[in-house]
Amino acid sequence: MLNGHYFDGRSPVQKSAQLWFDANDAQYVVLKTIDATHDNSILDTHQRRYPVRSVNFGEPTKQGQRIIRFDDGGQFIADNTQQTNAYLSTHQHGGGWVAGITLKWHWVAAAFVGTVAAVAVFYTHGIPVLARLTAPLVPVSISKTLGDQAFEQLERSQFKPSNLPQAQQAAIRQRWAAFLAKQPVGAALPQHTLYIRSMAMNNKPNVDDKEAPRNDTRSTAGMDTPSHQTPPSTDAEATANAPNKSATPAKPDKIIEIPNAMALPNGAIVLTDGLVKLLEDRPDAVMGVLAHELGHLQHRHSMRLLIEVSALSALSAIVLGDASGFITQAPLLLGVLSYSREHEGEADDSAIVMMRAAGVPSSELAVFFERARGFVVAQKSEKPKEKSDKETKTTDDKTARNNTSAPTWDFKFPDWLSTHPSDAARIEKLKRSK
Amino acid sequence: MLNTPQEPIPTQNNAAQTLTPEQIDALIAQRLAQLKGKDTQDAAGEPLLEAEPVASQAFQPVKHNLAFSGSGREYFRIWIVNLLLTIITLTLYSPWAKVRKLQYFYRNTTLDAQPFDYHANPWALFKGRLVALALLGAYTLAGYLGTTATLVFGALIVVVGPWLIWRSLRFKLANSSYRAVRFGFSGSLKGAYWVFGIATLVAVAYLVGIAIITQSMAESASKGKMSASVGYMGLFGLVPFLFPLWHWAMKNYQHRNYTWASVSTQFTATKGAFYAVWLKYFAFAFSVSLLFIAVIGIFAALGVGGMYGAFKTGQTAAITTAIIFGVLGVISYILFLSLIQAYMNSRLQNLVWNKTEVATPDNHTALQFHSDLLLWNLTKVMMWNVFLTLVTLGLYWPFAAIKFAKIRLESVSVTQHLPWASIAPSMVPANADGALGSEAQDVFDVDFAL
Repeated sequence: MLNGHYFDGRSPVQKSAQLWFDANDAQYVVLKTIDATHDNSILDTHQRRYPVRSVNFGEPTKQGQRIIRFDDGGQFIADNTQQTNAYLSTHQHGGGWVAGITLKWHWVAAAFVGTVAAVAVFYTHGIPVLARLTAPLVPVSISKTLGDQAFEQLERSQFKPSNLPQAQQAAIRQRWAAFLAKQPVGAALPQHTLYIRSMAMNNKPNVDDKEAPRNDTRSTAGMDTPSHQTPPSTDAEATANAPNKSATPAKPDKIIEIPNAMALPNGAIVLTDGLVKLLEDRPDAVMGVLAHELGHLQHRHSMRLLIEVSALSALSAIVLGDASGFITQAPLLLGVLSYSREHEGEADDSAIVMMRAAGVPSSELAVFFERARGFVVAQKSEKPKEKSDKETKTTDDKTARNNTSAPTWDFKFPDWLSTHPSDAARIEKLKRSK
Repeated sequence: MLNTPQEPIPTQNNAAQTLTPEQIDALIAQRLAQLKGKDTQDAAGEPLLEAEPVASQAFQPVKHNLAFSGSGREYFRIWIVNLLLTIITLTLYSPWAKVRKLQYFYRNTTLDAQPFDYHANPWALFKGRLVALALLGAYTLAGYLGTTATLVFGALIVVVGPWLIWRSLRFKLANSSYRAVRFGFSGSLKGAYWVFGIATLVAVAYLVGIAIITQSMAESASKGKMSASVGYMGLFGLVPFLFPLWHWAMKNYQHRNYTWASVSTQFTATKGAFYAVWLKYFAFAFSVSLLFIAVIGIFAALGVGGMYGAFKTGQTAAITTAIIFGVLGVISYILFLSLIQAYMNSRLQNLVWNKTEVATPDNHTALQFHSDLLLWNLTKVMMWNVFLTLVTLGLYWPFAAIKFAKIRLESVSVTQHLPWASIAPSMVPANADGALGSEAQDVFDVDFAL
């Protein structure tokens, strides 16, 4: 029997009460309430029987009180919670299997391992698979709208009409058409449009980070304009002496053409003047870059990243509940980076297949990565040595090496903090798969 | 269901009683004789009405501290099991998880030694989530159908939103209890439309207005005349100053309309007090930001300086220097965020609860709240919570949730001016499952933080 107190569910007044399982019929519990005066002489008692299945016996916990609820709104709380737990479990009211799991430490340990495993599997496999399956279901019109918006914004803020001679542009387009013509008939190549644009960086010494058209977190986080860019994401403060023949005002600031290529979800593939110049003597490498970008379109990577980011934020919301934004952002960012690297790998694979079909050695694409790296290194070494505060904060694995006179700067951010796989790994893969 | 006192008490348990069944029977017989056949079936009503006049005269006000007995270790178990089941069922389990979690928090919160309780039926939550999912699906579909459909749906959300919030407030209160007596929310639907609907309209108009003005500014800038747009911009710049007013209206709507048994809450905070809190908040956040920028600047300078100095001795030393100052930077960032968040949290909790009291229908003060949440204490808790949650990759989260609840709850105390016995039961009849009114079974339980 349990001693405790009772509330009837309507009045806030508590009454002394007792509760026990009916000795004659274990399908009933008996509740006895006792109305006492201040000097504890008993005035009145009432007894009622409740069918056991209509009673909510609550769950056992170490802290807090165990509340036994009746279906008429009343509740009984025993004076001693541990005694209550023991008494109820002898009558098979331990509180259900979930409560049982919660009480046993080895089950809790198993739940912990299971949770970590489940989160890991969702993170590495579930979400990418989900995105791969659902991305094709998203109507093309949505991708197009997103891509159009992104393209428009880039046209306004970063792109300028190409400075390349018409003939050179036409040659690239022709070569690309020929490259595509060699692809097998069955290959489902996505609709796309090729744009050639100038994308330049106006370099004052100590230029601000904001002006750098690097792979900014806005697009990688998939918040508004997902796009896929091929490295290098050059460093903001790089100075001087880029391969630059275009006519620029004779200011002390130099204009650097950034070698870059990107695919937008509306099917726009953008090639920059800087990239064409960087690969002027290797036209097949340009084809490799275009094939890589086409690979992004083929896999609908923009849409997939968007889905992956949404699913990931849902997962992190489940795990961390109503945690503050600061805590939930970290896993989100790491996840985005990891998915983005996976997409780059897939695009490389597609490029390899297309290049093989077109009879272009896949090592041509490696040429681009090598030169792109060289480009960044060149930018870095031109730098005045005394000003380099910002190097320390550059979150880019392509933070360059000062290879000769300056102290050896060989610190690199690890792969898992980058949007792209390391150049070395990609070059290796491309050279291997001939 | 009622039995007359017959005797099914197992004899082995009699030791636990203060009175034997025989003694009780005797006393009852005595009492029955006194009352001369008075109906004893109603256990609730009668003694209460007798007790009231005497009790309220003699009663001296008592101050109770709100106590929270939840433990991080115990909640960790509940949390991890909930988490696993939620993930492997692809969130289908989440209503049960929510009920289990809230029951743990409510039942560990006690006032005058009695716990609170949470009663929501997980199936009601489950249905609510299905409805929400359907709405989300419809919204996504509307997105595919084009701009007009999206706009129509968006307008629908604006129209339905306040109603949803209203329903969910009623649901939340109707499913919470203290001393087995359910709370209630008596705010009108019209009130919800005033507070939430108009606020949404103003916010939408504000955003649209800003967009239009920005565009026209850009256009007129290219033509060289700016004055008109700048004027409009200034006008629109005033809109955010309405925010404290709205914040007051929202808290006023809520804290005026909580009910429990026959008593209900009153709210006496002024609009001016809300403006004061927000102004002080901005002043505080501004000065803390300046301080933070200065500190970060010093760390960056020391870090970079130290690193280049360390280059000469070796690369490892340089990286170590960078890491040390990086960590210091992150810690001061967490401190900075915690400070300004804790400022708003503590000031707001203190303002709102110090200005809330509970009155009987004939306007006697029954309960008064006091909240004395201290800025630095809350900051310390929040800072450690963020830091340890990050360091443990989220595993500290349940401990953090308990710590946060504890400091916020235990800074509240309640002065009781009337004995519980003189608080009359609610006039709303309880229905079969003990819930007051249908809102307890409502399916619209929107999780939103107000």
